[in-house]
Amino acid sequence: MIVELQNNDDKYISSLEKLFSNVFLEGDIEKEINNNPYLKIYMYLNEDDILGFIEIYQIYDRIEIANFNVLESYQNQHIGSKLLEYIINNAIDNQMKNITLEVRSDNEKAIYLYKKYRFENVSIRKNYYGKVDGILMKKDIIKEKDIYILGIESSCDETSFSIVKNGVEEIGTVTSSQINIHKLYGGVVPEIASRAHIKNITFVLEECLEKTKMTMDDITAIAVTYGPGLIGSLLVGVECAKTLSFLYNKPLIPVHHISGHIYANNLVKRLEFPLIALVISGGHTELILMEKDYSFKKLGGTLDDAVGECYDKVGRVIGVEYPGGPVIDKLASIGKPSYNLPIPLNDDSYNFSFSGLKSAVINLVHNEEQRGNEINKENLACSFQNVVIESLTTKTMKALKEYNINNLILAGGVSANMGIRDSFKKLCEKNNINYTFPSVKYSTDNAAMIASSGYYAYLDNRISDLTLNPVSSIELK
Amino acid sequence: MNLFYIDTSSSYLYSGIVSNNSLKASRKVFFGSELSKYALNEISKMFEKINILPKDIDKIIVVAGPGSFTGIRIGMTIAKIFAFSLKKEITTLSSLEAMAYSSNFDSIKVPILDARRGYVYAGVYDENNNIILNDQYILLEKLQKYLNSLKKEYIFITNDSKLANLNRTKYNPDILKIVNMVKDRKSINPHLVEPLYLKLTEAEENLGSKNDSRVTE
Repeated sequence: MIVELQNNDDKYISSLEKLFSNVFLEGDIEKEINNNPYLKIYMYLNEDDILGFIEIYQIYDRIEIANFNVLESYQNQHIGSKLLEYIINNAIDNQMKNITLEVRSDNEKAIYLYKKYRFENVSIRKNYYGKVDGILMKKDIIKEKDIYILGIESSCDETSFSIVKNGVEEIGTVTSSQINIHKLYGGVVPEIASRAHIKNITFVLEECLEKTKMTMDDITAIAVTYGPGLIGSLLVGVECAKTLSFLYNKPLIPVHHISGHIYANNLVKRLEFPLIALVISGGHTELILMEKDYSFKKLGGTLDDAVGECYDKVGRVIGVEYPGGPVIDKLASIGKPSYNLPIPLNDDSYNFSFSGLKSAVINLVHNEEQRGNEINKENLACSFQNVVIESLTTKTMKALKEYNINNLILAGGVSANMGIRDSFKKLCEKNNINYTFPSVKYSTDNAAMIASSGYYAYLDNRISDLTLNPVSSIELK
Repeated sequence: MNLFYIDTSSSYLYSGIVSNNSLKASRKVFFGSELSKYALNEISKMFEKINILPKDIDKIIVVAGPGSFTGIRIGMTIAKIFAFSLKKEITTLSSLEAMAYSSNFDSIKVPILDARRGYVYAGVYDENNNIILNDQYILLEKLQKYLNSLKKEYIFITNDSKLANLNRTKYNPDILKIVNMVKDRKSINPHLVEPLYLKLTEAEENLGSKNDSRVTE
C-alpha cells in the first residue's frame, strides 16, 4: 500500500528518520515538511511497516524526485517500481509536464529502473558526487498522455488491423476473414492463407485508417503478432509492421498471440490481478497465471490436440461443416448426454489432453455404423461437449483454489462457446469468483487484442529492432 | 528521381537505390533461411548509409517472382506497404527478366529456376532481351525440346544448385541495368501489386482436378 505522509504522522516521521538514517538526520523531515509546501513523501507500507519511500517536489506542473529508497532487505520485490509507477500515474492524472531527477552515474540498478520507465538522460554533472558524476534524467509526461497502438494480426486466416488508445479503448478495427476460402478445403491451407494475406494487407490497413480517421503520424507504436501461428501468414504481418516501423520511425512491439487473446478481455473490462486465464482456441489450451500486466506463468497446457482442433475433428466425424465448433455447441444445447465418453487426463496436473477423447468419438461413431445404428448427432454433441466442459472446469477451478485467486478470464476462439461460458459462469457465481469473458467479436483472432496487449508490452519496454522474425511455435513469457 | 529496387525471390537480398542513372548504394547478401529476419534491417542500413529517407524515394521496383513463395512475399510486402503508405509509384518485373537483363550473352538467354518434380520456372529471351517464350511453369524436358527446336545457341542462367548440371552461367544481378530497363514501366496501384507465383497451390490443384472430374462424369 502506498500512503502519503502527513505533517502530523509523528510515528511515521520518526521511523522514516530511523530506517533511512543514511538520508535523513533527526528532525529533518519535520523541518522540511513544515517549511516547504512543494514537498511530498509517499511511503510504501506493509501493514504498518515502512519498506520504502519516495520524496518529491511537486512544483506547479513538474515533479522533481528528491529521494527514493527501498530497505535493502526488501529490494528486488518491485517496491521501487510500484512507488515510481505511483508518481508517474499521479503526474499523468494531473497533466504534469515532466518528472526530473538526479542519480549517481554508478547506481546502475536505479538507472536501469528509470530507463525502464523511459526516463532519458538530459545532462551529466561532472563530479557532482565527489568523484562520481551525477546524471540528470527527465521523463516527459504530456507527450505520453495518450498512447495509440496500431495492432496487426495475421497469424492464421484473418488479416486484421486495429487502433487502440491507452490499452483499453478501441478506436476501430478492420478484419478480413478468409474462412469462406478455407471452407472449400475443410480447414486452413497455409499457402493459400499466406497468399490471401498479402493480397488483402494494404486494403485492410487503408480501411482501418479510414475508419478511425487517423494517420500513421498519430500512431505511437506498432504492435504485431510474431507467433505462434502459421509461419507464412505471420510473415506477412511482421514484414508489414517492420516496414511501417522503418518508414515512420515508430517503435515496433512484438506480441505473443496468446497474450493477445488474454488482453481481449482488457477491452471489455480492465484486467484485475492476480488472475487465472484459460486460453482455449483452435491452436491452444492453456492455463496461465498473471500477477500483474505482462507477467505470465504457464500452469499447464494441452499435451496433444488443442480443444478447438478437437471440436473441428469431431465435427468432421459427425458430418458438420468446417469449422465444427459453433455447430457442435448448437447441437449440444438441444441434445442429451446419452453416450458414454471418458474424461481425459483426470489427474493432479494442470495439463489437458483431447486426442483420446477425439479417438473415442471416432471409435464410437465407427462402431455404431458397423452395427447399423444411426448416430444421434445432438446427443453425441452434447455428450462430447459435457466431457470437454468437465475437463476444462475441473482443472481451472482447481487452479483458482490452489493459488487462492479470485479472478478468472476466458480467452480464445473457443471461449465463444455458449455451453462452456454458461458452465464457467455458474461455477464462478457459486464460488464467488470474478469472471470476464471476451465479447464474441474479440474472442476470435483480431488486431484490437494485439494492440491492447501491445500497449502493456510498450509500457514494459518490450521493443524490437527491425530483425524481428516470426516464429511458428513459442512459449508465452 | 530516386528509384528503390528490391528482390527477395531467392535466398539472397538484392536491393539498390538508383538516382540520376547511377547506383548510389546496393546490397547483395546471402541470408538463406534467415532472409525474412535480415532483409528489411539491411535495407534500412542501406538507406542510412547514403543518408536518404524513405520519403525521398520516387518509385519502387520490386521483383514479383517466380521463386521461393515465402521469399517473394518478403519483398512484396515491403514494397506494397512502402508504396501504399508513402503514396509512391510502384512497378514490378519477374525474377527471370532480372536474370536475363543482367546477362550480356549474345544469343538466346534462358533464366531458369527449379520448381521440383521435373518442373522449372523459365522464360526465353533473345540477345536484345525481347521475350521469345513467356515466363512459365514448365517441364524441363519440354523446355529443352523447345529450345532445341529454335536451332540457335542458348545458355541457361541460374544460381539454382539443383540445375547445376545444365549448361549454365551464374546469375549476378546488374541492378543499374535492371532498373534502367523497367523504370519507365507504368506504375501499378499498390493494392493490386501481386506476387507472381506462376503456380497454383497444391490444394487448389487438387480441388481443381476434383471439380474437373465432376464435370466430366
